[in-house]
Amino acid sequence: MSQTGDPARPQPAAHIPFIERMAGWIAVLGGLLLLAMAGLVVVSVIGRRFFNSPVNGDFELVSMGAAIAVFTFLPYTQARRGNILVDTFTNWLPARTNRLIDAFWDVVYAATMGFLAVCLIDGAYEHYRTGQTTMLLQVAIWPAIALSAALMVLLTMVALATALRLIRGQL
Amino acid sequence: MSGLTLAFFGFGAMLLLIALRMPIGLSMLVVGALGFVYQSSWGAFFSYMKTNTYHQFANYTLSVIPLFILMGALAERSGISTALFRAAEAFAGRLRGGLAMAVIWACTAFGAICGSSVATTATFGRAALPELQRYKYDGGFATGTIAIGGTLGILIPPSVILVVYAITTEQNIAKLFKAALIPGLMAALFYCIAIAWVVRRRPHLAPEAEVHVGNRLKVLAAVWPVLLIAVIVVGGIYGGVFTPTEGAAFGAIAMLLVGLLQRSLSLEAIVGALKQTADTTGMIFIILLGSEVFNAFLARSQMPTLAAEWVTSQGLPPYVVMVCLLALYILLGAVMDELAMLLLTLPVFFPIVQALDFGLPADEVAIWFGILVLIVVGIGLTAPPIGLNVFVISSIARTVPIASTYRGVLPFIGMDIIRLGLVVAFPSLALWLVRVLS
Repeated sequence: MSQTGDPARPQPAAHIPFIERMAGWIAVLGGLLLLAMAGLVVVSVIGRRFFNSPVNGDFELVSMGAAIAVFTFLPYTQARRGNILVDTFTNWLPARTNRLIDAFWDVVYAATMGFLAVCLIDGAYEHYRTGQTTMLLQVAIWPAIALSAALMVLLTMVALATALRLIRGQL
Repeated sequence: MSGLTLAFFGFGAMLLLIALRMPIGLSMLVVGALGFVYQSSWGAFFSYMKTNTYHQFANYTLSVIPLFILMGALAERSGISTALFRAAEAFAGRLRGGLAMAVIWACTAFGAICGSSVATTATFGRAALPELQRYKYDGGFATGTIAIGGTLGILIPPSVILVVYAITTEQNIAKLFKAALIPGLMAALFYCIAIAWVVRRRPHLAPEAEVHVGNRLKVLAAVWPVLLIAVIVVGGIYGGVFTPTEGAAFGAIAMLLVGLLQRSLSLEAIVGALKQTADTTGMIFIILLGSEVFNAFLARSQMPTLAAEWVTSQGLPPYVVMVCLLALYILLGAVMDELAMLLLTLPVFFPIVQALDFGLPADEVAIWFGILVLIVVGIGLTAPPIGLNVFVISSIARTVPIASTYRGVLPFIGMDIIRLGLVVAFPSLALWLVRVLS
């Protein structure tokens, strides 16, 4: 059976570490950002159809906003351990062994996401140095990349926290 | 090591890691990264990844995915599935097996506002299952019907799977949504035929009941705003009034407003919908990111091009190749997660299909193949041993053994295979609407 974003999956129990609860709040903020982007698109579409005046560069804002929203979602998905995995071949192992395997992959996940965070920090600095902006609105891109990098750092910490909980048998 | 050997080695390593419980997106990312580095250098990979994660996510076309998920999550929590089921029940309830048919039609309507099969299954598991049980429908028959009804979430546009297909193969989302409509409605019709056939042969599965149908106008009044939203979103995308992203944004905002005006969405429900959007979107985007890196590695190995050349050089009839690919998809879909399956195989299979001559323009073949892939994904979602929809409904209906649900699903899978055969034999079933509307 593979684990997924199944809405019927129970919420994690009590004693959730602070960092994971934070991931939940940040995901809700990201969701609100996504809703705001949706609102912006609707205003732009109405403006374009009925008043012949679309929101200028809505395209760019939506891409940027949706990207940041997705970055806010990743830590929450990890806190819920929502990433899809296949457990068909390992189900015969004792539960504790499987928990340790999962903890190991969470550490690998943390390392990988930490690496991506470093890449993004470098990328943000490069965009800052070259002063790259979006085409139409001339909005600087580096703050968005820097924010993404910060959220990837949060994701790294959440993955370490879930690994720790798996090792302790709290998950 | 030649590029081809390396690519096969990469595939093998990734499958092994997946079998060892490594999350699918992570294993694609790690194997893809190592392959990339082996072919070039760490420096090249570092500069490739510097902003790649950001720029990949900051993609206007991709933003349609979280927006459609948000729209579906809001719809799910507004209780619309119950209202849709009541409405369908009012029309079909008195037929033998009518409640099961009502599930199918309510799922069809819900599928027009929701692009996810898991969400559709879960919401109807809660909205319709108690009613089916109250009228003493057989457990496996009821859960099987809801599991297959859930696939209508993706079979009827909008559909997250089709969006992923469109993005991976660089096809037009609106055209794919148009092509999916007739095969999607065929699915609903075929499922109802299956229900009629099953209850005829085994009447005890669906006891005849005096279902209280209520006032048909009254139940329709409860669902018209949502049906209107579905028509505007899908119709607007069809008519080119707005892009898929704009349609999804409009749908999410409209669902929110309807929920607030009908007082069916509490603040708690909205926060819940946002969290569910976060969870599902995060899961999808990690797989998208992993597949992006893995495909960058694969493209450098030239394996997809070589595979396409090899297949075409064998001189097999195109339809034989197509049937083999679809059979392979059904087998893979039975044991794998469908989204990951698509992202892993499309970079190799899609060039093969494009290289074959079906007597259709290449872009039509691409659209047609997308619909065929959608049908096999639907089969994979319900087929044993690993059918995601079946797991979802089993987690809700704990009294029904999972084996009974799989038995309940079988007649529907039979219908899906017939439908797949029809769409393979008659590509116009998918392409007609695309041609007419453009």
